Amino acid sequence: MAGGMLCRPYNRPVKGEMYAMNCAPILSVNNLKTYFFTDEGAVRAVDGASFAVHPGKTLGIVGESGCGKSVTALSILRIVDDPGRIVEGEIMFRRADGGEPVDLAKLDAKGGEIRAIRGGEIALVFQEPMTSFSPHYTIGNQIVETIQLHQDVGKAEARTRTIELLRMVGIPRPERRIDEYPFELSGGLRQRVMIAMALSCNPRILIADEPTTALDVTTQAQILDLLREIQERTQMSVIIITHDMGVIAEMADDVIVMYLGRVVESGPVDEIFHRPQHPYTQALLRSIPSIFAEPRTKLPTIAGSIPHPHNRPAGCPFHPRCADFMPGKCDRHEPQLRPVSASQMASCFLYHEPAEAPQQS
Amino acid sequence: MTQAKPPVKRSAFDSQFDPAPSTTAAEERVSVATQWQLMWWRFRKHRLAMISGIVIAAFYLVAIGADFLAYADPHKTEAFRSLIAPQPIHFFDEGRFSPHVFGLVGKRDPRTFKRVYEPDPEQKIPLRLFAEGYEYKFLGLFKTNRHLIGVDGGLAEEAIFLLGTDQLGRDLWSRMMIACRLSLTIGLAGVTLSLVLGVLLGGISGLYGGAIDTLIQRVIEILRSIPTIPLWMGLAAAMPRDWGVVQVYFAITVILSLIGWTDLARVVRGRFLALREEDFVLAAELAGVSQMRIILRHMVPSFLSHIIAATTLALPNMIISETALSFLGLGLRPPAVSWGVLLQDAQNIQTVAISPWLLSAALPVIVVILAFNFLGDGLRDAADPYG
Amino acid sequence: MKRADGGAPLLEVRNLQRFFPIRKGLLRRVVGQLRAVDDISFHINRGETLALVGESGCGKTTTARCILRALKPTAGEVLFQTGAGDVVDTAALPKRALQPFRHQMQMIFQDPFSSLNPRMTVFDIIAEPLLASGIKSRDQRRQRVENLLELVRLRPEFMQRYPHAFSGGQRQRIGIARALALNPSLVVADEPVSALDVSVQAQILNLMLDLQDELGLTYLFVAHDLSVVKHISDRVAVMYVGKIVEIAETNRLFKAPKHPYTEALLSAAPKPDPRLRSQRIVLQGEVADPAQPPAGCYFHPRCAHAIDRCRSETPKLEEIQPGHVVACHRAREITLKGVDAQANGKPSA
Repeated sequence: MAGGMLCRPYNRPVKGEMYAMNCAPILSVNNLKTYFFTDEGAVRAVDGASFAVHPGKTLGIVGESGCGKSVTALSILRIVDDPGRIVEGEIMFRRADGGEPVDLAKLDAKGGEIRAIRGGEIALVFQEPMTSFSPHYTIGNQIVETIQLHQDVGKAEARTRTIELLRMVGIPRPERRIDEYPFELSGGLRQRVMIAMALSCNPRILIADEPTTALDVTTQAQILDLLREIQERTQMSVIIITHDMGVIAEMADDVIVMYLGRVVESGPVDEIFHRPQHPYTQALLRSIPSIFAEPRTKLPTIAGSIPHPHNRPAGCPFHPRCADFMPGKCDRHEPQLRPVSASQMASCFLYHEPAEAPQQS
Repeated sequence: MTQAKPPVKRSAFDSQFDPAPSTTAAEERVSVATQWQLMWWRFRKHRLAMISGIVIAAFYLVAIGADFLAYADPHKTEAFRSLIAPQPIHFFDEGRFSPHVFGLVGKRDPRTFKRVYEPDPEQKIPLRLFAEGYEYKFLGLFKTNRHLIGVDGGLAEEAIFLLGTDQLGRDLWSRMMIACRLSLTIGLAGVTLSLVLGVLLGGISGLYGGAIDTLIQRVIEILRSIPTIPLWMGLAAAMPRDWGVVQVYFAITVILSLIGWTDLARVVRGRFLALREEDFVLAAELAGVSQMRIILRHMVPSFLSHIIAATTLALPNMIISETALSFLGLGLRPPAVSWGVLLQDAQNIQTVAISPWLLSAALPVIVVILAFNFLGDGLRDAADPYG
Repeated sequence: MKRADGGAPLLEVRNLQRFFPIRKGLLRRVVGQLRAVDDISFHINRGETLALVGESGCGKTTTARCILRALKPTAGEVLFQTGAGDVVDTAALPKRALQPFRHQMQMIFQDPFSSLNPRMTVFDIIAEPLLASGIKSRDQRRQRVENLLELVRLRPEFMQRYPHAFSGGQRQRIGIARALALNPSLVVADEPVSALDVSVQAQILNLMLDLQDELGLTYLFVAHDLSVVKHISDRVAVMYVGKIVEIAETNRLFKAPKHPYTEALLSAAPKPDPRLRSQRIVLQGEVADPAQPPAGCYFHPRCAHAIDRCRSETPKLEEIQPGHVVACHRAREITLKGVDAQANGKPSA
């Protein structure tokens, strides 16, 4: 894990500090487009997403339903289901061997290289831990199998490692729990086992897709703590995908905000929460119910609802709901993600002028 | 009232109403589409199921017009025409469109002493549409002797052998047409009865629960443990002697449907149990909607489509059991004519080796079973358009 | 902000219990009881919002359903003040006798997808309660449905559409319109915004606040999300494993919780401000199993303040200040942190 060591262990954002500019990203996604070709036409699930993941850092991807955050994760792992396809863009990943970065988007989705990376170097934790396990095997069996799939170790050693892993994720009495079936565990424990399984091959990137959405708040706090603790120990990078601004505030170093397949804003977590630039980020933050509010106060709202992916508005996809909508600009041209400050980028015509030719379609 | 957050900028769209996304005519059509319309749109995309639906409709049309499509009396035996091979139709005669068949000359093979038939190209027998043949009652309504094809003057059964003949010299094509009618319809009453019993008892079981549910479930378990074939043999032996073979078979299918409803009942019970927990059913209950209306308005429409699909998948079972039981000699027996009975002739390997056309009755069985299964799959996929 | 009129509460729940039998084996013999709701009492005044808060499995939804008599309580009283002014115990009435009061209590559901019958048009869905209450004229029903749709800020011309044409937020509005069709006095909302997108939640919360002012509704608001609760409720009741552990006025409960579980819940609630990180109390262990709860206070295995007494003796709900009841032996001794203590500066957004 040489890549991780280049950077100083760094978890809490400190105001004003530059963000790991000296570190080459471990994963960089450029202009990723993943479309789903359905009978009703192409759905642009991810439409030109760009971001970078730095060693030892946590990237938060936040957005509401249909924003393409999960499809982005699936695209990185190349497990997008039919009829979805990566149609454009690159996903550059620096492998552990230190060679030239490989473009995951160009790999054969069923080939050996992506299989070695998936689960070995990039691991995934799902939202629903119950459905990600086979109900017919003990949790131990499933983790041992994963270890043996990616590493050349014997069964006994794999089992010892599994027990260690279960202990590491805070499962009480792991020697006994290892032989239990997934249904015997509570939701919180199952999510811990899921994390143990993801960690079993020392991944360099852990993608956590809504890891706490199905859990209660007190359990959520436990799992988030666990994730952060493991990250501090292993120096892996984490991509956390969620709709919950609270989880992002808690976990992320850098944030990208997505809306209908597009990255509308990106930047360090403190900037995003305290100096949001894009009208969507601003409105979203204002509309979140707050535990600090006075009782019985009305919230500022974002008008309307998220359009169905089939009826994506022309121009900036947020313009029909935007308070700063500029007729003739926002509904005709697609804004690009451009720097708005030293560390922050936004995709909005408040900060840059549209290119000359109006968008076709 | 202290506002914890800064006032919001009002956007141009923040009117009193939720802004309606601009909808096209096509979307508007979808938004007011009923369940059945959505199902039809979805089913239409399932090409194989559509074709299968047409195939099945064609088979039932054949069943209705079986006598008309047949050209020879299916029961008339003639030793001199035994085991004639299928005979091709020639459509052109010296460049002119004039469908005809060649006459056959029967000879005895000097070595095997078997009778063989050879076409005589000199003897051209022209075919006629809507020709006269044996007399039958169309749909049981009126007597006629018109058939789709025939020959001028003489009897069709002496000249045309589209699929050959069996050992007793009966024309196979004509027998297959007639068999189609019996095979496709004999089980319908049984399936209908199973359907009614299944929905009724499953519905009661799922709806009321408690002791009735337990009772019905135990009855289902007992019924399901009864082996069908021995029961079938026993019933066949117990039927009154003076009943015809078709009557006996019909009676047995009806009796067996008293056992066969269990699968459907379980499905219906499961649906009722699931629906009872649905939020929209609770909402109706809280609004004071009567139990009857909840069942008819909320519950039944939610699984009607599933029942249609389940029935479509039950029909091929009925056809295949007829074929299988008759082939084994347990179901229909001659003189009844069904696909299974026709296949009985092909039971012995020697016959099949010498006259393979006797197996041709297997083809419609395969086609119709496949078609029913594809149609059922298509219906099942389309059945829940909100999934 | 005081809207309670000082008279008898609209709803009073006394010692409500609901157990579910646990059956095992071939004979489905009852081997134990799951104490989903275990002896809880509270009241809701006319025109106020009481939030019922807790984690999954704490019995909040079961309580709501018992009040609506979608479930029959095992024991206890549910005293409801009817429109005519008399008080009925809906827990004791047979289902049939309940019919005249049914329309006075209605429900808003969590899932905007499963709560609307996909096979009925919006008009049929909203008009169904009207039809059941005996409004035979279709014109009258149409008029009322139009009004209701306007009330929830939906276009009346959408009436002929089916639910599949609407987004989650719009469907929730339809569900609210249906609940209001019969002019109920009590509306039980079971997690009405938790299945919605963040940007839509605020719309529905605001709508509920507006409707309460316009129609003088009383809400029982069941939720797990404390920030949502903070916005809508006048008082909050916190539940843990089938029991109420604390009830107080919203501001009091958030600023000065008296039960360690309330404190932990407040602390664990994710706050959208990265500057407030790592000030959380992370509870150890898991929620107790309601089929085999621990002895004494159900919360003691996870409680940092537990003493010997907590392990043996079940605490009773006690009023420690007017309007603030707590079930904790040490409520008067320990000092707990509320949300303001955590937020050293409010988020500047």
